[in-house]
Amino acid sequence: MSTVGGSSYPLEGVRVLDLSEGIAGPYCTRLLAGYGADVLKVERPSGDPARSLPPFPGDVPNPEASGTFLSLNTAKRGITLDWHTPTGRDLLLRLLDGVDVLVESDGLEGLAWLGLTDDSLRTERTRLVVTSVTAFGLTGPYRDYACSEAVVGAIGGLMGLTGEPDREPLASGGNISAMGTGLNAYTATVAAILHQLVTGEGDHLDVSIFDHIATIPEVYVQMQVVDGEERGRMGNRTGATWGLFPAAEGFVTVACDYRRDLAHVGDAFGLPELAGPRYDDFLYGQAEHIDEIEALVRGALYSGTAQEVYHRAQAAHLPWGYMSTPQDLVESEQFKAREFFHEVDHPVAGPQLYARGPALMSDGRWKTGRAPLLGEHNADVFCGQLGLSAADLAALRAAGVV
Amino acid sequence: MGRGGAPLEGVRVLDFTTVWAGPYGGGLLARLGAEVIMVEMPFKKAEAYSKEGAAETAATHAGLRDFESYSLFCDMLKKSIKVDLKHPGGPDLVRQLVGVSDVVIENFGGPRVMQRFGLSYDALAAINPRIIYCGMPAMGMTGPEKDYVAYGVSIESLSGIVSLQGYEDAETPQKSGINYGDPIAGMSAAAAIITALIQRLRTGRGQLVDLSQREGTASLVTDAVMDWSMNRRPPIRHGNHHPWMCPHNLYRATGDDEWLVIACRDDADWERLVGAMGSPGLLVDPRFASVSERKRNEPAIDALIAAWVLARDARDLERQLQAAGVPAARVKPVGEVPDDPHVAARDLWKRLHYPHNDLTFPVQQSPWIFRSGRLPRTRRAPYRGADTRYVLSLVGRDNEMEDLVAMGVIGAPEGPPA
Repeated sequence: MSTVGGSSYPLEGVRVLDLSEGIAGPYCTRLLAGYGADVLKVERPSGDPARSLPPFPGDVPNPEASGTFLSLNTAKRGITLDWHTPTGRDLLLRLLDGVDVLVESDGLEGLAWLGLTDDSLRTERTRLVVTSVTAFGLTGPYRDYACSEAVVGAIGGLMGLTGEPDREPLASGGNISAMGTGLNAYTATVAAILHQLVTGEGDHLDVSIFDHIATIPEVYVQMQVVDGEERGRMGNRTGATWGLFPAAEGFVTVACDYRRDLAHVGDAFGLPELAGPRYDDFLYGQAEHIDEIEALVRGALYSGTAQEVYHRAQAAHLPWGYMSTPQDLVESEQFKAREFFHEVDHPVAGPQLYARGPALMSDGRWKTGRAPLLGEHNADVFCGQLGLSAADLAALRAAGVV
Repeated sequence: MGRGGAPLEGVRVLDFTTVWAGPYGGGLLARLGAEVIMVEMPFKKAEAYSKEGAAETAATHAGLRDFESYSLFCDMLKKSIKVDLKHPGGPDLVRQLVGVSDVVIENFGGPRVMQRFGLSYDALAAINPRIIYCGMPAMGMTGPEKDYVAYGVSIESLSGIVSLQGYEDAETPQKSGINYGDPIAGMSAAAAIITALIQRLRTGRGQLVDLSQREGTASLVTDAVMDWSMNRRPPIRHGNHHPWMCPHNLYRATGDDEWLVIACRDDADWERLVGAMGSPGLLVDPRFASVSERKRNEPAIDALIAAWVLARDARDLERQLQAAGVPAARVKPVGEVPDDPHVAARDLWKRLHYPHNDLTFPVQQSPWIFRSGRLPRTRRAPYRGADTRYVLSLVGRDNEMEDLVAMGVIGAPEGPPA
């Protein structure tokens, strides 16, 4: 496997058993693997259901070529095991003996099947860190609720803020709730690993997509307390000089709060009147002549493509952005200079682009492997590590356990 | 599980960040038990180090924390000292504090600000080689755009997320209702800092953590990047529909601005939904026989469900459909979140009273649960400079407090009105 940056892997020596499926849990363990933990992914014999998620090369479904699965499972080893059978459970418990961290998305029932209860974690496996990454968490009235990105966005308060005020609420794009939850789970897990390394104590972390979505909009809740106004759909225009607005081609995010921001806009786009005394009272998108100001600022955006407007605005120290597509990300000179994406080959999916970890660490490497094929490391793990014979493995395979 | 302290107990963080992304990252470290000391400007938190901003913001925010809402939740559990970095004594004091700290976190928008104060990573590592320095500028500390600046609203656009969401019938994409780039950047910073703390256990050395807020947020859309990589396909915005689930939409319910999401992941969900609707005939309707047929006949299926939902209460339907195993939820106004029964059962939010303005704010407890119970309980954000004497005592200078205030090196501690 190749590497990016640093003198060693930050999480070198940390052993992780990953029973999680889908998106959130596997993204957590993808970060663990990327920062150098040894992650063994355990899939049911039919494979992680995420293997059926698009995109696929040429849109031809193939469990070895799901772009979602591949990008979530880089640098892990993989085995198949039906640990819900008694034989499978015994094998899994033998694997568990050697690990520091268990990540799972089955919840309390699955853990109980493995004998991992609050009691046994407190008295027997006292050093183990267990991270449960589920939709609604291990406790509470919604714990068995069925989930999707849109459902959790609605019930957690995010969807009610998204969309135009005169239209219906709008679901988030992509899988950002689950991905954000994976990041959240990673943060909690590395904190627990640090604690484990220092004190020898384990913990059981209960991380959910709901908790992520139901906590991040809190500033809007607090604004309501201050001014008593209910916060609903914010729209693309959140103020006269704040929001997502069209450029001659594409869209720009505009943010002007202060008098000097208007002067910067004037400098950048040749509108000296914006620096004039007529708008001296401008603050936080309000002024006597705010309609004129908005027209001038919005008009300036039509001077070029969104990317041109972005660079021109940034040269004048304006904190603006442009709506980037995945293609824009891949072609960004800034991302290229920092090697944010790199190509990794895969025997079925071929060479594709993968992101490195979210931070560049001066002393910490990022591991850039590919995702495992289904059951790719079965022989290594069951025979090499657990000492089963080839005949034992064949019997397990015949029984559908692996 | 044992009875040890919080996971980051004994980790001391100097937090120079302002507004949302940075303070949220520092806030997560505080929630995990680190001692997070905000090094605040003597005047006003945000904007104060920009050339023109200081006087202006000092004037407009004379009420200080009367309403710095970000501070209410980001800065819970933190300590505070006010240091004027423009006074020569300010950076000197910071350098002393770095000698007894583990982490420095800043979001000044590029490396040059801390350099100007003699507080770059190299300068601080010379004082304390164990220091972990996290700079979190918009685009990262290197590259042609390293001096670019951005707010969370711009970061979200620049990350690719906005390109993936929007009404199906509109050409305009839609930004999220929250500046999603902010919390994600803060989460990414906290994650990387803890990762560096683990590495330091082994190496004995700190390091520079270069966190680009754009990269942190773009990390969440790698599946869309993969679609570009594999198929050179530009993003498709599905509105409240879904690329491969059907039915999947938002339906108006009875009452004012009441909406219900229904998201059938597979045939089994569809069968459960049809059962709940009491319309078994739909199961034998060839238009809806498979997900691809349903997708082809999406307008018809949406019309049927819309008519069913419209006459009903969204709360009742959420309960009824979820009891039947169908992914469904009422769109909850954000103001109702702190009182949501699941939030309450999981103790996700607290109400904290601020005596200086007599307001009670709901704040999040933490975005995860450690079942050992070893995370600290939330308390309100400190008054600015409230911990000045304690922080000075860390470097043996608490007896100089009044002099340092008089000289303008530090600001006077604030407190609740008498």
